[in-house]
Amino acid sequence: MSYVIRRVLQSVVVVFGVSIVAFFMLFMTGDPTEIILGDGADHMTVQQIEEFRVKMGFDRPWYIQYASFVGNAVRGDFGYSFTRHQPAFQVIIEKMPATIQLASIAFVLSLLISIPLGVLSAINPHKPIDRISTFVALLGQSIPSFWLSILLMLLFGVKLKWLPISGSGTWQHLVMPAIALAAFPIARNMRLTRSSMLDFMQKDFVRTARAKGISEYRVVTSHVLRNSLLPIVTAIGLEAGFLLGGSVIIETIFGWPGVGREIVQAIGSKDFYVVQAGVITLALIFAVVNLIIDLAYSWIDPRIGFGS
Amino acid sequence: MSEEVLVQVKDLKMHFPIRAGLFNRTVGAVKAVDGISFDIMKGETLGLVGESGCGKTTAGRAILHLYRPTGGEVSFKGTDLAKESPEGLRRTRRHMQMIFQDPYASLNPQMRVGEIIGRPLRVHGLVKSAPEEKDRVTELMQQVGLNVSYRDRFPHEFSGGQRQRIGIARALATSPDFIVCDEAISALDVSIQAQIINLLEQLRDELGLTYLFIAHDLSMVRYISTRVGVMYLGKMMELASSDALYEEPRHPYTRALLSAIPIPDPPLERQRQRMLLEGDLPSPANPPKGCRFSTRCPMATDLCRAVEPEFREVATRHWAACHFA
Amino acid sequence: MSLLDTEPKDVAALPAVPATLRTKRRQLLSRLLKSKAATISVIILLIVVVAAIAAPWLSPHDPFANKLIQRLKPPMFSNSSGIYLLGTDSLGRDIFSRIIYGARVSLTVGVSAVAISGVIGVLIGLLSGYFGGKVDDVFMRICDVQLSFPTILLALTIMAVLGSGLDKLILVLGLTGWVPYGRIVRSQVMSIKNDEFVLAARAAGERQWRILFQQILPNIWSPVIVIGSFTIASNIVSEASLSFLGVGVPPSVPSWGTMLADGREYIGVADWLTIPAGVAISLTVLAINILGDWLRDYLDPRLKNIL
Repeated sequence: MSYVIRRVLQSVVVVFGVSIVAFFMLFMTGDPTEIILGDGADHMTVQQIEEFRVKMGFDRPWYIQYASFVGNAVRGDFGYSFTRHQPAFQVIIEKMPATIQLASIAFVLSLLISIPLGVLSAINPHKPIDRISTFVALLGQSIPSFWLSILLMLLFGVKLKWLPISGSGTWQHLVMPAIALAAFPIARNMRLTRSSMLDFMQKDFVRTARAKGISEYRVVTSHVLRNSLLPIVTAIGLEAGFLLGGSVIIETIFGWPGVGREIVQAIGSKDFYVVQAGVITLALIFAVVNLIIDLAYSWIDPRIGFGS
Repeated sequence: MSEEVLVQVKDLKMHFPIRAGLFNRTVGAVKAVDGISFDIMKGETLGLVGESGCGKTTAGRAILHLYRPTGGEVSFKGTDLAKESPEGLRRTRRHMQMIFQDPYASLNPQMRVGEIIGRPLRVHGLVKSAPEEKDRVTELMQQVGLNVSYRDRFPHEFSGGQRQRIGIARALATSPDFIVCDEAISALDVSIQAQIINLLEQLRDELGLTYLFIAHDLSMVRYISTRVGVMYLGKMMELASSDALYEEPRHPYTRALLSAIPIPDPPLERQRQRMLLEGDLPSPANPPKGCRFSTRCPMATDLCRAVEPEFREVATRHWAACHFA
Repeated sequence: MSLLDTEPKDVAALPAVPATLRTKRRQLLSRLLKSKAATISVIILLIVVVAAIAAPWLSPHDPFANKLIQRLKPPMFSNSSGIYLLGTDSLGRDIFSRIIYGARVSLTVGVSAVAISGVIGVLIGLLSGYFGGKVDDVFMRICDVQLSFPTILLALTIMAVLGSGLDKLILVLGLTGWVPYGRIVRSQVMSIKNDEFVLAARAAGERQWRILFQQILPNIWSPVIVIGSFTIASNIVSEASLSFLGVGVPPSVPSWGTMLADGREYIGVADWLTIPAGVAISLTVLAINILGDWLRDYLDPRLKNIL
């Protein structure tokens, strides 16, 4: 029980930390007024700028501003978007389903491909199938996702004309972004599965199982795979952060109308309230997902949660 | 052996907190050393024995103030170490050194032998130049029987016995008065143990050193020590001159330990009466009431289980903590 | 984000590293040449380094010169009349020359940011692992925040506020990238700080900072070097990603990321705009990763479980 409380508190601290980062982002160059107004300040008189500063409350001490920022944020109020003409939080919430859709499809895709491939590699070590998939995994970890996206667009969109280059609406629109987003997790999970399984195959209890005359298939499935999935489950928790972060680039490239693209566009138009709202919401989702995974994990594996 | 006290240990306590729960509250303490007192005379070798987990290693480290003791007092040459400033303590370390148990872990794997032995010299400003340091290191290596040409090798290139010689040379570098030998031979092969013991004896006689010799092997301890103390669960059970302790042990725990030593003479060995201790060592976080040894003592009575015996002088210069000693 | 974010799990369980870096250094090259993949990677990286250093002498054209008449010229081999090896971009700038200069940007960012984050991470990890207590608590919380916050998002927002620029990019990647070093150094320090050789140094009367920097630090270089190599790769990707999104280096600066961004606009008409830059990034990053893997296995195979 104390583990659960500690873990929940930890998530609260994390979200609190993210809120500090998101808040002080505006103060990084000194004056948030300048950042919010951007080039617009050139057309304003000194007095108008000053009035704007007072109106936004930027003349108050930073800690009061931060307190009111947190107070408002808790109620879902992140300020008003100048470009979208609606509350910043609402802008983000409206884009959320698209991001979650893309991320979850990429997530499922990554598990469906990486784990079988990792298993296949591990039970045929140093055979061609292992060498090829290991190299492809290394390649997958090394190709930047935006370059992979462009390659996919060139091949399936421009040359073969099988899939639409950008936008959303049909399932075809989802294919390329999902592959591009899943590529890195596929590569990493495949390598993780492989090394974790190879590790367990050396263990005494697996050798004992073999010595007992259990079929190789049973050894692999019930002794090795079950144990080696534990580190993969841990990695999956962190994957959520990767998928949400990676979606920033992928969504922008493929014009996928999600939170990531919204944040990038908001940055371009200096709509910083939307940026803050997006960043904090993503962090919140990530913290909750991780919390759930960790708690589920401690429930599955009794070794975690004991001691400190 | 003179009658001059070099190290005085008074009611030394070393407790390690046990933390648990949400805010890491202290919920208890492992009483590794729970109030031990003795003097170490200049020039003597005081043996300290006991089972593993009895707190003898911790006692050695607390005496050198490598850990800040929880209570009690250690005076070295009449100065209370606890009252020293960190800088003062650091300077005092020149005169009191340590030889460690594990010759593999106690040498920095990334340093060459010459550097390992030479560092204490530099730390305390005992050499003024690199050539001077080199000369002193050469001298030290010869003193402990190491080939001087090995100066630039790394620890992993040596055997256990050679490594322990490196550790001894390091301890000797600052010309200390007092050396704690913490199970310095336990990790070595039996044949090597004798070599190292001989080396330690020879150095003691040549350099006028004083040792606190911590070990669990009683036969080696008898050989090198002038006096021997027996520890059990953080407490001193018995302390006497080597001969007295081995010939006339007063404490049942000491007798049990001694009965476990094999005698290298087959007829005598066959007659040896072993006194087997039953049960496990109780947890030092929660020691038994009364006498700590009462749970395993063949002589224990209700008195033993209720009242902790005092550590008293049962014969001339022979102390024991047992109601029946 | 650093696509290669190292997320060591269960780091505290790692035993201390006994491998002597000093002795291993001697055989480094001969062992390296035994691995085909590692050798090829070294060759690729040497080419990239030479290109970066000798860019002004190697590039056939001025990478900054706009020649609008010459815009979107295809590569030499597909068009016999061409004079541009890899063609020109939308402003008529020579792509080959920009690729060469792009190596400069990539390596500058990759290496400088690693230096910054390495120094910060190693320092914080050392202090946090050695002294524990409050410093450690704060550090661990920062790690939690960092792990739950995609680095790319953090870098993106900071760059958006600061405005693009090579120096700012290095600073931002350097200041946001120290956590992996901190974590690994902390766990390593914690696992060796109670070793007898550290105790021996204290018993000998060494000062704390000497123990920390001269006794402990030399024992934990291996994982730091391995993380460093992986981080150079991830920094190169981050630079390209941020430049691609328009918040990295200014568009005029020849960076592989800005070139890809430029190329995406003309993806249907001129694929030669994107392919050279994409290949350059992928090869460089792949080479660094292969070398990092090799280095890890060479220095200390046990690191495999955490890096």
